[in-house]
Amino acid sequence: MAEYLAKNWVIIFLMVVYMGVCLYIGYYFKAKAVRGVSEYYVAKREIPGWVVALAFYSTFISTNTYIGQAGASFSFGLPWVWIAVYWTVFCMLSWHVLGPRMRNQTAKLGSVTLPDYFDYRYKSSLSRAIRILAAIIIIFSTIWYMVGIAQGCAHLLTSLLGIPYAWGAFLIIFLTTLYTVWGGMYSVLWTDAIQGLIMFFVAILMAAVPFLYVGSINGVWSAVANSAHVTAAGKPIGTGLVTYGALVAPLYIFGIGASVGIKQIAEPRCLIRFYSIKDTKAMRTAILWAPILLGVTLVSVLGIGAFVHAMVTPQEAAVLVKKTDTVIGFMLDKYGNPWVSGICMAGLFAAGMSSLASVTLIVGTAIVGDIRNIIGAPLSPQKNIFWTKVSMVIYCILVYIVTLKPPAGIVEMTAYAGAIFGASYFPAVFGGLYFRWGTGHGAFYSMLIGLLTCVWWREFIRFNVPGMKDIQEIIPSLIVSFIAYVIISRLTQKYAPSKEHLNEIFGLEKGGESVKA
Amino acid sequence: MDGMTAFGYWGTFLLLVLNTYLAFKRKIEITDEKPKVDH
Repeated sequence: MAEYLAKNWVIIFLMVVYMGVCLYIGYYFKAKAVRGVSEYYVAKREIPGWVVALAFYSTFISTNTYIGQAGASFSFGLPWVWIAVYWTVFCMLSWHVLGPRMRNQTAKLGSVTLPDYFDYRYKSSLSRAIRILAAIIIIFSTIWYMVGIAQGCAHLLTSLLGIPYAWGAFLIIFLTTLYTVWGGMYSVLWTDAIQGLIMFFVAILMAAVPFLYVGSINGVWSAVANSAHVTAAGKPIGTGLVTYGALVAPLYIFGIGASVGIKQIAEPRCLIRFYSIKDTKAMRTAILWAPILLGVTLVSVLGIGAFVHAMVTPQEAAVLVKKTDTVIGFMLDKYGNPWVSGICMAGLFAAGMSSLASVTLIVGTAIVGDIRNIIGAPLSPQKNIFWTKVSMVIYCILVYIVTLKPPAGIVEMTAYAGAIFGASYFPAVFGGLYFRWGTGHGAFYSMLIGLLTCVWWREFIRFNVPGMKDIQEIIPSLIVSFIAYVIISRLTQKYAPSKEHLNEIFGLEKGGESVKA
Repeated sequence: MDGMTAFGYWGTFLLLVLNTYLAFKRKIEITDEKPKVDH
């Protein structure tokens, strides 16, 4: 035991401090969060812009960015950094195109969840059906995402501190649940902000490790510019690490860039952030900082794998190139500084926990706010909050059980779930915000068509039709669902909400056009 | 490093410059209207 503590005390100390801060934040907001549903679900729309920017950033970026995506450039080289361009574009689209309108419309409508936005905005005979369908998509898709993150963090605890997998999963899931249940959206946003700060610092620290190890920029650069190592297929890399299109097809980078980046404009865990912004100044601050945090983090971490070539022998490189997920762990091990490893581990946990906390709350609000309150008589605010807490705990127990024996291909299932969100949510969200003529029928059927196209493409086309493998399901299903939204909305204008309702959301019409969003 | 590879880096920074410009210059107004209907 003494030997174990002597070896790992730095990492244990940093982890305990980090977990302690998260729990303290949850406890601090415990009383404030239960004053009302608006407080518990959206932090009463009173959160400063910098907190929301950090929360958006830390929720979107996950452990996979720091491990999987960062390590991938060991095999793909520096062209992999193009992912940063795509994701930054989506981040800007999310904040500039969706953010301000979403904040204003949801406040006017009194919406506190994404499914209830569809209900109040479309106000049609189908709007309750959209709300329930949207909530069901959240409940069934989120579990794979949560299991994927919990599994990654638990494996990290096992390899780093020797904690058994089951205990690691228990710690990560239930500590996150505890502070989320205590403080609702307040604790989710404030812990996300702290986690975001850690993650930003860790991204820069991790990027510096190969240079600190080698001791000079030129030393790293000469090893990367003309590498003596080989690819996974055993061919010499040469200048491949710095040559566009040499080691990875640009279309593949675009596929990953688009299919993951698009989550920022479609997934509830990102969109719900807009609800809590305090005022105009806060919105401007968040619009400024969210893309900066994301862009700087991505250009720091995405190229790390390529730079690690400067730290390894040809024999080590031949192993790592086939297992790029292990590149970052290998890099930290080889550098061998316990403080650097400990801080980086805290960053990786921060990335995992921030994503877990946000989706836990979204699931709780979907179960109670969007299904229970629609099927049965609406609950009082206090009962609403109580049952939301109970739902979160039960759901997390379920996540824990699945995490103990996760099904094969969990990473693919996580990506699959993200694609389903994108295809089914985006047209209804974008159309709801921008098209006065968007109808509940358009939203409902586009959601259904997006969902089915996504499943169809994945199950029958992508891996069965030659040449389709690199076209991720999100791309065709999003195009189809968007077209469906436009056509069905145009054809069902008689079901459109009343003019008064639309004027309330969009402002008065002038010459047939809306004058105020 | 060829130009296209380098674009991954400076292209991102160019986007961040554009974002900074838009964040300051764009007309953004967050209204504090309360819902007229109590759901």
